[in-house]
Amino acid sequence: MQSGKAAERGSVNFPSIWAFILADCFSFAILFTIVMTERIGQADLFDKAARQLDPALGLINTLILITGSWLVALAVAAARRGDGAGARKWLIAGLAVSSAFGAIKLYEYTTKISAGITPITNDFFTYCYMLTGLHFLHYIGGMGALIALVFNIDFSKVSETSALNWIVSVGIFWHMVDLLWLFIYPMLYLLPLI
Amino acid sequence: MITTARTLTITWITLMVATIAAFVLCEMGSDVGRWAIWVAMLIAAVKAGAVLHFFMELHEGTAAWKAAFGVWLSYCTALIAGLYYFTV
Repeated sequence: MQSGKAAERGSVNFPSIWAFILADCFSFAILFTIVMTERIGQADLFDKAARQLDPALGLINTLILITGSWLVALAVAAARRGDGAGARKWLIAGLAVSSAFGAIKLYEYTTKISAGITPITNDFFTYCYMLTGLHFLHYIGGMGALIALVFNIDFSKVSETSALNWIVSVGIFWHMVDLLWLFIYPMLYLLPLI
Repeated sequence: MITTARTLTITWITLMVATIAAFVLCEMGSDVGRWAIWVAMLIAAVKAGAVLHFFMELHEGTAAWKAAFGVWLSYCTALIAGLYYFTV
């Protein structure tokens, strides 16, 4: 464990990206507040509309993101051990698994839109598209960053501070995509079932 | 202290099981009672805490960073569970 001052400055163990992560998480907390307060007074409409989503697809996507996060965490652990080949292998595995999330999300969007369910259908779907769309942009950014890591990092020098800092930072960003979804999933897919 | 591959894998299995448990609970619908809202969100909070601690390695940060994310996690959990529970 490093000293408090070192952690505040940013280092390989606690990189500066945490400031961005915290700001992003609180931004989503504001969005969650808007959605949940808008639900007051039209809970029946929100819950009926939410039941048009497929909770099984939400479940599969959650399991995919958790597995992708685990594989990226294994890549970071390998990089910290100086195992460049292992780090690259786990990153590619994480990318492969996580790409299924994008495919399922696009399937969900296209089936909903082709059924006439769009962001202007009702308030629930306005916020549903907004929340999942913003989350999807984070997903795209994370996937892009993971791809950039695989092609741009010299994995034979993975122990060097710069390379390791990139891997750890992109890993933390990727886990944030998972973290945000862990709240979006019950809010939109699960709780309306009860 | 850096998280080991074994700890990461145990965390992953726990997250998978907890996710499926919350899904099964909510799929039972109104039969289970509205208390299930709190259970489902507590499961989500525990999962988020595990991701922050083990995958993101928040334990390497100072107490201030941990407190900030603790506030965020508690707020999101209470907001979503509370407003679902009390708004029918």
